[in-house]
Amino acid sequence: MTDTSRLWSSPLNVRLFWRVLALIVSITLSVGAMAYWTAREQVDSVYDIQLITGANVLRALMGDELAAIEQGQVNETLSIDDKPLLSAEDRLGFDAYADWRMFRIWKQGRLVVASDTGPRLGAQACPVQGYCDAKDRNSDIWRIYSLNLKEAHITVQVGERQSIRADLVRKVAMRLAGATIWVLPAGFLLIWLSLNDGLRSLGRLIRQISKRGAQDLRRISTDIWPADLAPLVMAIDGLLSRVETAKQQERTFIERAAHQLRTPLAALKVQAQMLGLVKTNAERQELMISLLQSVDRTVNLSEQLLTLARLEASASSTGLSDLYVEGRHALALLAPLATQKGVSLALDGEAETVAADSASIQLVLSNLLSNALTFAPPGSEIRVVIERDEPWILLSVNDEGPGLNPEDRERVFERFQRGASSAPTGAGLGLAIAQQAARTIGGHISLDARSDGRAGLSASIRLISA
Amino acid sequence: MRLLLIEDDPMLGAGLKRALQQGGYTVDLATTGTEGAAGLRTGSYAAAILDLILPEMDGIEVIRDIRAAGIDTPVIMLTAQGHPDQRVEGLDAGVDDYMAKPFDLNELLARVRAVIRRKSGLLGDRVIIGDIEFDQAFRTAKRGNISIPLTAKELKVLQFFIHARGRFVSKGEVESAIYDNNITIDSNTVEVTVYALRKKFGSDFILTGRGLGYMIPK
Repeated sequence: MTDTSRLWSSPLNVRLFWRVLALIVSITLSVGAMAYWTAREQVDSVYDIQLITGANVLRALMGDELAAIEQGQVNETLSIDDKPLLSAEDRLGFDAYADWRMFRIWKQGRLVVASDTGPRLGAQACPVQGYCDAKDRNSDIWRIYSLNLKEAHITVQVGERQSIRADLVRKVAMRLAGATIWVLPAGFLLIWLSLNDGLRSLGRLIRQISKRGAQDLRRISTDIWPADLAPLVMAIDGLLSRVETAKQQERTFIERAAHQLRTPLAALKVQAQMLGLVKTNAERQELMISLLQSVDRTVNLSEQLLTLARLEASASSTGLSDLYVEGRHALALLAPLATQKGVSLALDGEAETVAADSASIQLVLSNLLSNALTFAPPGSEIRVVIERDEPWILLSVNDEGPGLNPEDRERVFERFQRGASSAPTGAGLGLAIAQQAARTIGGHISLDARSDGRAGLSASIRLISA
Repeated sequence: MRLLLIEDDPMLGAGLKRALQQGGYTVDLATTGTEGAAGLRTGSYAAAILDLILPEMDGIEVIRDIRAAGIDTPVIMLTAQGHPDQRVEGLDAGVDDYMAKPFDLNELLARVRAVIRRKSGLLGDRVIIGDIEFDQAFRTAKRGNISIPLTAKELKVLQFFIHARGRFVSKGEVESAIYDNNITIDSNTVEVTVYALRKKFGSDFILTGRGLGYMIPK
């Protein structure tokens, strides 16, 4: 079932794709800008050199005339019509240039010769030798190179419309962009496909897990997965193995519980069937007694189960009790059985009030005492001790039985768990009830070797002094 | 025939022992897994009834232990109505049959008969020896339509001979099959019973061989 109300972040592949896309676009843009500027510089430098070449060509064309001027043979009033500096063919050759090119020749600050295509510039722009930019009346920018021939007081200017260079650079850029426009979408498609391909294993993993039944706890690492998925696969396998362990424990528990619940019933049934088979009254009488004992045992078992259920459901208890009074009461209840078994009872300590209700303390004490009595050998003593251990009051039940291995000390509190040599009639609920009752009064029963150096087990609980 | 009952619950153990005795078996009761395994290893039981959860060694461990030791005594396991996996585990370990608690006494007795029968290669509860028909379930013997009354002791000895059919059994084997451990054996009981059976079924019904013992031929 898909929870549609839940917010999911966008899919991994989409997010990755957008990031890669942004990266590629920004790389392309910066490479493009660099290419544009480089192309522009290249074009500028090539064209600038051409301007110099142009100016030098003009000077060479004017070579003879200039030599005459240097020798003072030429009159000072050179007119355009005379064209003394440049022969008619030379001019034609130069004029053959497109309208984006021009040349002008100045003598002593006066325009002597100019190409027909020249810009309408004002006074002599750019009189200094070198490059300069000038704006004509149509607001076109011209790139002009001025060559000063100082001896002849002549300035040769060769110029180009700046826009022609921009056109060229634009054309180069457009060609580059054209190629990129085809390459980019193809690249994006490839990236998208490979991203999805990379995520396909993830999809396979998801399908494998989602189609599994609740009973199927086989490891998924048996398949071959990409190394990137290893941590995920391992984590899932770890989880599966923990689930399997928990399931196994649960099954063992249920089997144990069923066994302990059905055994008294099996005894009841056998005894009841036997009643119909025996022939003498004495045998019948004997069977009736054991049948009634079995009924009592079954009733006791259901009462224990109900007590456990009630303890689980109850919140922490409130109330005050005197441990000495409670201990005396619990021991009084045990006394007849203890006497029967030849076990003596003792209570050490004095009145101590604790924050716990009397019923819970009785449950703890009676179950611990009955457990102690089961293991107490005849002639031994069971001792209940109340000690102050600020801010706690320590209550303990000590027996002189065989004790318990440290590894079994937590296990015996589990339900339906019986110690290796426990009372064979019990269902293994007594200590579980005691522990549950201890929890409702904020305590925890721990089992240890006796602290007074004697053989036997000491079951103790710490309670808050009131 | 001698059965071993391995059950730690005193009420069920005592009740079941009594019921099985009523059913004509000699029954020993073991209350821990170790005790049960040790008993089974003697190989002197016709069948065993084994509880699953036992102190010291559980039922599965007991069955593995004795099967590993080569003991082929038929074993019926008592369980709660557990998970099928658990039955599979038991059957694989060498359990012959299962009974779920609480069980019907008659069914348990029938299953005990069945596993013993299977072991001795018999097909049903009814066995025909010559002109005698013997019904193990009802524990009666008939010649034609005339039923032949049998005492409890005669029944036990006869059952033991039938299961050992075609093989000589010693007097000691017969004694241990029909007596509880704690009962002192009257030294000529077996001879007396065999004599009585021969009187009822004919002198060649049970063969005797010097140094060999007794046999009902196949």
